[in-house]
Amino acid sequence: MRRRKTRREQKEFLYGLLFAMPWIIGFLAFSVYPLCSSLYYSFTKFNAVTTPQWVGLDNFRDIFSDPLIWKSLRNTLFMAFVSTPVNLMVALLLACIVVKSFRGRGLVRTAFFLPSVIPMVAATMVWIWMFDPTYGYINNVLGFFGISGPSWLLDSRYTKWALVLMGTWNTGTTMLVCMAALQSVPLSYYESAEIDGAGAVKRFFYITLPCVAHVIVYQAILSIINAFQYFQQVYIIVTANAGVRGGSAAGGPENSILMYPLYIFHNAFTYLKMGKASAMAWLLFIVVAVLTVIMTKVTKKVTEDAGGE
Amino acid sequence: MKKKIVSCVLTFAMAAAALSGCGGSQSSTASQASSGAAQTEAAQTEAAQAETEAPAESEEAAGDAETITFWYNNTGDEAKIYEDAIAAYNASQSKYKVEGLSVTDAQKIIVAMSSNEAPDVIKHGNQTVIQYAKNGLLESIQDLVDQEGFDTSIYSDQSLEANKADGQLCALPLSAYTIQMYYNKTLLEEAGYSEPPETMEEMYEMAVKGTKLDADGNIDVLGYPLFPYASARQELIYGFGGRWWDENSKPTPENSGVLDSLNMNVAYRNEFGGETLNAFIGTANTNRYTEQDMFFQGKQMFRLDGSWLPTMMKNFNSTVDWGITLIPGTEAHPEYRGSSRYETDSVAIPAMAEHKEGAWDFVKWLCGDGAKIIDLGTGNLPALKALYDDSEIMAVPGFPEFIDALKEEKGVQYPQMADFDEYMNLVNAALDVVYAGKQTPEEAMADLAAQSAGLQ
Repeated sequence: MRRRKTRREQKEFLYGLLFAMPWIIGFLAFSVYPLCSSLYYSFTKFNAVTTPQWVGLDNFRDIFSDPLIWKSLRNTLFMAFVSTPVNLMVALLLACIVVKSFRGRGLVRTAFFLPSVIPMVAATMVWIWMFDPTYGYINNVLGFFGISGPSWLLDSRYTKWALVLMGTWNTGTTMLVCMAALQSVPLSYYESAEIDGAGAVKRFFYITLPCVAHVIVYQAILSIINAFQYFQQVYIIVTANAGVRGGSAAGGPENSILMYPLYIFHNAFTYLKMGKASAMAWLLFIVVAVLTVIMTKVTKKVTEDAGGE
Repeated sequence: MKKKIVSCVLTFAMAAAALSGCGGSQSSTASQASSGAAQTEAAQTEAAQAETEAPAESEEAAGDAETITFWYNNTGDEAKIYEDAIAAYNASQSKYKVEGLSVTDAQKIIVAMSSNEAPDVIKHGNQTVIQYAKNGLLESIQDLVDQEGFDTSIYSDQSLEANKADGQLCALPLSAYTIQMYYNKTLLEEAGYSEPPETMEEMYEMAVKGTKLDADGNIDVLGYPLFPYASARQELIYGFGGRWWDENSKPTPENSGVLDSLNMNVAYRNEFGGETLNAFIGTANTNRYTEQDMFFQGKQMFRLDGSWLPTMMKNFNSTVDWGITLIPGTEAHPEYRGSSRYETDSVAIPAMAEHKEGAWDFVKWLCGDGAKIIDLGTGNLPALKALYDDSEIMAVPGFPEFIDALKEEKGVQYPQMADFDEYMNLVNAALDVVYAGKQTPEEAMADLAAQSAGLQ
């Protein structure tokens, strides 16, 4: 039989509730209410200002028949599943470098981490200049090796790869997490392996990688979820390219970098189709939720395999 | 008991702090103004200076004056011009006090309108204004004009037409812009020509002869005006008589003028290589309207651009010897010569504006007495017919040629499409496909016609 709460316990519960109230009010006002509103708007024709008109499932039908939705999803998935592993590899490589003891290590660590604190807008503008086909730094370096660099941001075959390249520059935070994980690997493992004659490569693949695998998987989950919110960089690139009215497609050449969040933004604030944008946001929510569940299970398994909890 | 009181006080303090972000419109607007003011600080300083020159009684009265908020989508030096105009209006009367704010973010305008914090007056391009009007976001200017018997004949016919949605005036035209063709006289002479082209066929021949490659095969001088893209999408098409929409605002990407123009563009791309052209255009895009602009540097033979270009060239000390001529027509249709987009900067009143009477007063002034300040400052052409012969306006480099072009009344008006931006996105993407050589113009335009069939 359930014990009745004492007067003191009831009081403490009320105090707790009272102290949590500011957060609860904030959560209801700024999370639950917008969430419910967007669900309602997804069933309406709504331009953000005038009264919404109920249209049932029309927005969802519109989504599934709009080829640009699928294109934007494909572009976003590319960033999630191509850019993420590349970034993780770069971060791990950098972590392996800075975890070693050498003169000037602090300086190198700072240099690798520095890009992470630069505002994305400024960084993207710099990258646009670096990708300039004639005077850009990237093509000049390629030219030094006799390679004729492409028009990175004008040729749809290279636009997404340009974004991948941009991403590798901004892996400082992941590098720090990997570095912490590398430092937690017991040195005795390496000493035993060395006595058994294992070389550097074998030590990396048989000791380092399994020991930090759970951290890498966790970072991969975060990066993939972040990829579904990929917006700033492409928005700035497209805007710098003069935008739709300046002759550029809303998602770059052939809409090759039209990311899903950017397309939501265009529907909401450029095309004034807030209902469709809300429906798209809910679709994104479902995709991310499913991915998160899958990834959480994978992390749990990897962590357990690595001997963690 | 003491504990209870302390906990209650703390909780209310935290709740108040957490909810302070949801404050009233006044404080929110003020904070927005202060953040936006960073961009327009210089402009406001100038405006303050202008205000000090106003009569003292006007300043005193301004304390009781009704505040009218005005958002314009200009920044930097152009924002300063708007602040000058606002200061002049505030000095001219004491009933209203206009507060200007530079807002370039369309999202902010929509959010403000949806949260009943809309400004009283907005200034935007006529395409945006029409789109807002089609979505019911604007007050009908037509009703105000009719009620007051305001004489709209002071504006050119095409500027009024550019601000109508469903036949009703939704904004007043502030200034106009159109595109014509600049040419580099030196490059033209080097190619063996003394006069600019009058037809597209002539221009193509000159462009091919005038294009220069460097030792690595990269384009050093671009002959054909494929940059800026927006002009290639519009004026090169209009010169062939092509239109992206018909008189009923229905998409018409498959008309012969569009296809003829695209085929000429493709021929030029094939002649010099798509990747080589992309490299040139990419760099041209990054440096557009800077000191390194390709036309300012003498690396473009023809450039389709607006009336502001000569002022920019002068400011950047460009030494290019340039001329202006009308957009070419075709040999078969010389009457298409001079066809160009016609756009206006438009001033409108949001449907949810709080001070509509004051807003209308300011709109009339800005698009009347204030228009000259804006036109001279921004380098845009007048919409007011009276300014066509104004000596100060005519003294601006390039303006006489552009005003002559305006008088031809060959401006191509934008369609009355609620989905205009969506259509333009599809058009631009289709052109990318053509220029990448993935589809012929005919195939790409057929696909575009199918994709845009449901747009309104």
